[in-house]
Amino acid sequence: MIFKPVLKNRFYLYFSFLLTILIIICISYFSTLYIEKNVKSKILEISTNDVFEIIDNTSNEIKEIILKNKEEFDLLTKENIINKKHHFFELLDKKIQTLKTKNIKYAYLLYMDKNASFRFIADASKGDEKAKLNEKFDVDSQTWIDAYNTKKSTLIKHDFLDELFITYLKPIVIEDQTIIFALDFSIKKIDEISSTIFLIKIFLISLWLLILFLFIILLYQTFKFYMAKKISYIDRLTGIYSRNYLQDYEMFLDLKKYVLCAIDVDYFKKVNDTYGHIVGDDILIQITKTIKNQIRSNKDIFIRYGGEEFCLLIRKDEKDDEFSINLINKIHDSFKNKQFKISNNEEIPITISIGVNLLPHNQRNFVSAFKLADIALYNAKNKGRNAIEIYQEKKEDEQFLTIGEIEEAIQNDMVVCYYQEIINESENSQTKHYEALIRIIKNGQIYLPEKFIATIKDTFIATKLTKELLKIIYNKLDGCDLDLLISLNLSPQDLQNESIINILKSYSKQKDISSRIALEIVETDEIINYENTTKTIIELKELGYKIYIDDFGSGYSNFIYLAKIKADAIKIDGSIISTINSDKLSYLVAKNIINFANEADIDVIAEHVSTKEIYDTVKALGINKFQGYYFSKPT
Amino acid sequence: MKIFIILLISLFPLFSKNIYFVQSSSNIQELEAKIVSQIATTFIDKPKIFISGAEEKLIFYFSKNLTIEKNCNNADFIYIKKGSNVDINNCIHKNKIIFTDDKHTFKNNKNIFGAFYWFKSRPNVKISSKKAKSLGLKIPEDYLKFLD
Repeated sequence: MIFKPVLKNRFYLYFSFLLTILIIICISYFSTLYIEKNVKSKILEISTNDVFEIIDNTSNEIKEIILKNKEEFDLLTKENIINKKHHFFELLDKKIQTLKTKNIKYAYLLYMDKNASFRFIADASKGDEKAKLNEKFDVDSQTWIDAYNTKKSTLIKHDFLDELFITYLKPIVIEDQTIIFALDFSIKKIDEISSTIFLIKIFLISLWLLILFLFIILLYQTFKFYMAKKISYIDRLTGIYSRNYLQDYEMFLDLKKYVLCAIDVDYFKKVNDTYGHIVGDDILIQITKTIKNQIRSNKDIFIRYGGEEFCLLIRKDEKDDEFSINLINKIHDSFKNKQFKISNNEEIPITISIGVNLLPHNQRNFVSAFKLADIALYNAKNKGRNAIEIYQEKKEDEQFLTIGEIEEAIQNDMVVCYYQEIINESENSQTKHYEALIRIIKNGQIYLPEKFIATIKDTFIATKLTKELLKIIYNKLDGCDLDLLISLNLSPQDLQNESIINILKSYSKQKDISSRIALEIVETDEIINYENTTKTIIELKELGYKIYIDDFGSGYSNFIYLAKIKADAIKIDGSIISTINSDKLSYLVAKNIINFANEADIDVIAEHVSTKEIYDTVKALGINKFQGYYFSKPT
Repeated sequence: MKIFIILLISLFPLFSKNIYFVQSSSNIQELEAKIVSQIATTFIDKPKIFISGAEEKLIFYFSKNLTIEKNCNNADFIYIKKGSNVDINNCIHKNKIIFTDDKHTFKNNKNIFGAFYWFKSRPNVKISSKKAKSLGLKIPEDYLKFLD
């Protein structure tokens, strides 16, 4: 899973957080500097371009003035007499004084004497700042001499002078001589630009701060969201992933890499009801630990699917094909000799049933893949629990119906009932008794309950199907002979479903309906251990329905319960009847059930009577109600 | 909150008015003290300096490199600040090296050996070749460009 390591290791979270903030700070810092630099250069270029043009024009005028007074000029540059007065020089002073502004601090003309020293010809300054004619000027860099020699206009940037920003040097060539027209730009210029840039910078920084602030808030909220999510992903009791985790991340699971297991704790309701929920919870924690000790925490995904059901995704080992199966066996074996504490002194054994889907990626999604693991689990439980059952694809004609197909069948009235007669050999009986057996027809093919019941177990589709069955039976009985009795099977969930009970109640209000319906209920822990279900059964009996206990002897054969609900009849499990002649134990079980039933005045029905030999045996034991192929097939 | 404050502090440099364009204002007095001290140590070994009319801060900068004397008679290098009214006549004719920061004083007083002053906003150093000769000082090659 992508987020698993991130969520597990806080270091990654904090590191990513700080790294991102650092990146934002760096970007903001350098981008602001870059923008500042470029904007400043651009503003400077725009604001000085005009000045440079004016300087170029003034240079031409200076050149003309000097050319007119060339003799005087030549004499001056040879004599080097300081402070000589001449109207020609005053004229040059006046000319360059026009360029002095608050931004141009100094404007002056220099020539180079025979000793390669620069000396003043003219200076626009006044007072103490004004240089005298022929006064020496010590230049502060080689750039001056380079500008003089190359005769190219040059810009000098002053980094270390407090009052000057740049100096513009404009060489003026007059015949065989060159003079330098120098202009020092005041720092005021850059101060003005800086003020403008400062405002832009403040805006940029504010913007960055706002972005950073929003980013931090966003990050904080995201962090909080993920922490909340993380909490919701963890089952509080066991500390493993909850179903929420699966719901959110099932789409990211690469099912090719996993083997999917559905694990159920056997008879857990009994534990809960016997020892209480606190012990039940404690047992669940111990079970989780036992399984966690076997799996790899960094590879396998262990989820509490609900109640006592777990989902385990075992990551396949590319080098060892049998790794997953071995691990499943290991998990199952770890329960074999283990005792689970229910108090300081008491321990009980616990077993688990495991349904395995070895090829979950063959399904469209996780839900479908899990359904198959659940079907395998259902089979494991049907085989007596404490078992591992691997789901195997059946041949096409044995294929299970999907939930969608079952729902479609209900909507399109493709749910039908087959009826198998229950023979009553009692002397006085006139009633014709049939068991309604549900079938689904799809593409002309008839599907038996084992092809769809497991798929819809515990879903609302199962309820829909029961309602459909009730509707069919009601229609069959309505307006039919009064001596017709129809049995139908109800699951524990049906008996706990209010809407189904309401339907049965409404039928009972109509004349001669409930008295002609027998409800066949399989005796399971879910029925026996729930007081409400027992009450419901008794209530239905009072409404006129006959109550049959189906598959009696297969698992829960609770005689006390049988007496409690006052069942009208019990149907001995088919597996006992079909082996009654070959298995002595089956014979003894059947005999004892019949004896008890006779004592308790409860009818007994033998189902799966497929041969005359079986019929003779059960008849000899005192049964006079039979159902099976020996008499008729469902039609 | 702590992180936010740290971030604000880290961004503070951006608020400074000039980051790249203009260097921070150099300390003029420190520069002045450095240049004059350099000149003094060029001509005198372990010079003792008397500074006339200087602020405490400038004296402090000088004290980093030179020994400060409160009496000009005990000093071998005298630095006269512009506008100073301290009477140093007793010391002027005692073959001491006298330096000033006033261009005009340097031009008009033949006893002054040299000057450090700001001209056209640039630091300027001038040394009187005549005074150097009268003091018997040999001007190093690096200083020839400063001769007036």
